[in-house]
Amino acid sequence: MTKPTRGFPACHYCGNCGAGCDTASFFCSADHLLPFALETGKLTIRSNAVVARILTGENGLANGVQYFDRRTGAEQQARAKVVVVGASCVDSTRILLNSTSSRHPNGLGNGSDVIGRYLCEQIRLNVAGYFPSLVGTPTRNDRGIGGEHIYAPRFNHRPGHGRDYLRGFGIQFWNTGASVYGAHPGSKQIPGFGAALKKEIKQRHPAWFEIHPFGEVLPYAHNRITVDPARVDRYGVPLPSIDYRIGENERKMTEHMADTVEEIVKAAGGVLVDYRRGQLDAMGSAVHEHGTCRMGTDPKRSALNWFNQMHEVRNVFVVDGSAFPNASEKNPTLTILALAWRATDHLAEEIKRGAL
Amino acid sequence: MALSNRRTALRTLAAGAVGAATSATWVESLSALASQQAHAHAAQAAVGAQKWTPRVLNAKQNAMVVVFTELIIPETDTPGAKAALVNRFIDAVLHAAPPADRAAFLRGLAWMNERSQTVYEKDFVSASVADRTALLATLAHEKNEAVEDRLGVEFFRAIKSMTIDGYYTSEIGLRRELGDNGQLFFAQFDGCDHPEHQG
Ligand SMILES: Cc1cc2nc3c(=O)[nH]c(=O)nc-3n(C[C@H](O)[C@H](O)[C@H](O)COP(=O)(O)OP(=O)(O)OC[C@H]3O[C@@H](n4cnc5c(N)ncnc54)[C@H](O)[C@@H]3O)c2cc1C
Ligand code: SF4
Repeated sequence: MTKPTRGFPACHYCGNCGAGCDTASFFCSADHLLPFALETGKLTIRSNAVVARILTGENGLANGVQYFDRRTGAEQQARAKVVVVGASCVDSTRILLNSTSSRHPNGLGNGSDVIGRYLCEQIRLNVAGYFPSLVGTPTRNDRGIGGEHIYAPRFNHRPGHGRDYLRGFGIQFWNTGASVYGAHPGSKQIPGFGAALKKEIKQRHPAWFEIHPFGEVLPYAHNRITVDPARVDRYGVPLPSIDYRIGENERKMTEHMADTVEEIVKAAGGVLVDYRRGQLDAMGSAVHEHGTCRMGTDPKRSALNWFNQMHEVRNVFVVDGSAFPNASEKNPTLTILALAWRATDHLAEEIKRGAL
Repeated sequence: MALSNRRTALRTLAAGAVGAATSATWVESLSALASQQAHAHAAQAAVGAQKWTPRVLNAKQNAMVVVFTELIIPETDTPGAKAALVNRFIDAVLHAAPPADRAAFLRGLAWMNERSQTVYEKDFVSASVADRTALLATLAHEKNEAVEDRLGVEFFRAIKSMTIDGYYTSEIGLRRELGDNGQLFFAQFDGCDHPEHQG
């Protein structure tokens, strides 16, 4: 935050945001939401409570949750008029699918069978190298905050940049300049040992860069989270199982990513290290999961309405990335937050007017 | 940045699984663990505590690791891995590692000693600097695919990777060798100053 906010000072640009901010100068719910909510006296936080299922009554509506105490393993319940689920995409999906009952045999609010389907995790290339023009220059303070320096937004919708595939990708640029944690990650790839290795590592240290394109994967019904009764956690609750594969559209996009990165590196005079063209990171490496409890207008094809409220169980809200109908290529957290905020504003209004 | 490294660790693990023909999984797995632990190492001044007893290595193995790491990152105009106590870092990583990876590493150490005995009739620590260097050079050779050297080649890759993580996250490595004074902050962000981007 560039100005003092809620009694916390403005950012002093120390660059350590990745480890959390000691002065609470960036927005984070632990600093900026929860303490104020606690002050109202209306919030109780139950730590170490691992939710297993959402409980429902005869009428099919939710009336609480079942959870296990992480320290003792004891099973407990919390009663509720409304349940808001935000356990992140995969775990929220798991909780919903495990919440079966006679009214909800296919998982809570899953008459449409969309919950668990349309998992959209982005694809990602991890490209690294160094700029010979910076080799041997002094270690500089040019890191900016955290790590990422530059973001190239999606551009393939612009005239002359389109290709024969749907949707697109953006690119994050990291580590231009020195790495915060020790030698640059390419050091291990430099052959040999001894004084020559030591010299080479030092020389390349200020010259290292990483480029990470993140691309959207289309929502496919077959990309799916299910729960597997044969594999359970230590409380006996079924674990999620994930089926995921990309298709032709993503392969074409990957080609475009590779061409783009190669063009940028060539123009900037960089040298790629350990480059394997088009080799995507392991699926899941983008850690931007979405889509498995999608919102939409048609209850046959979506699980939530546009206020993240379940079509089939109106006192349950799901407020994480699982609500997105598709992933986009972007970092999702602020959008998740905005939608959650909007959903809970709506919830407050509904409670006020006695609808819930 | 920590996030980037976590992602890199994921990638390293995945690459290990795919490229099993060229690289043993234990090497990748120890290597990724060392990268992870390096962050804690960088933040932890207690590494230099006077009293230290290894948790995994016995005295002989520890002595070997000291010699080995110093061969990889030697003293030059700045101190090397020995002064940076990289052996302690490696012991800590091994302690945190899955038993199978730890065992593979220790087998690698033993292999080095046997090889040194066979070729120079001395164990690794007692061999001359020239002999040790020559032995390492065979293992470090990128095209070494000899079956009888396989464990040695893998071991070299593992210990090199751990040494690099341990050394360059020590005060000696980060501050004295790389010249990073830890002053990360800016007084303010002025925004872009390219004239063509103004207005
Ligand atoms: C390494 C990494 C880097 C990232 N970088 C970025 C970035 O730069 N920008 C960006 O926008 N996004 C980034 N993301 C994605 C971002 O972190 C997520 O999209 C975001 O945190 C999701 O918010 P959420 O509230 O849905 O879930 P979370 O933030 O994961 O919160 C879910 C909470 O629910 C709790 N929980 C889970 N299961 C249960 C249960 N059964 N019972 C009780 N509690 C439970 C969890 O402990 C957790 O506190 C990154 C993710 C990772 C992993
Ligand atoms: S740079 Fe990051 S960690 Fe430092 S004060 Fe600003 S928000 Fe906080």
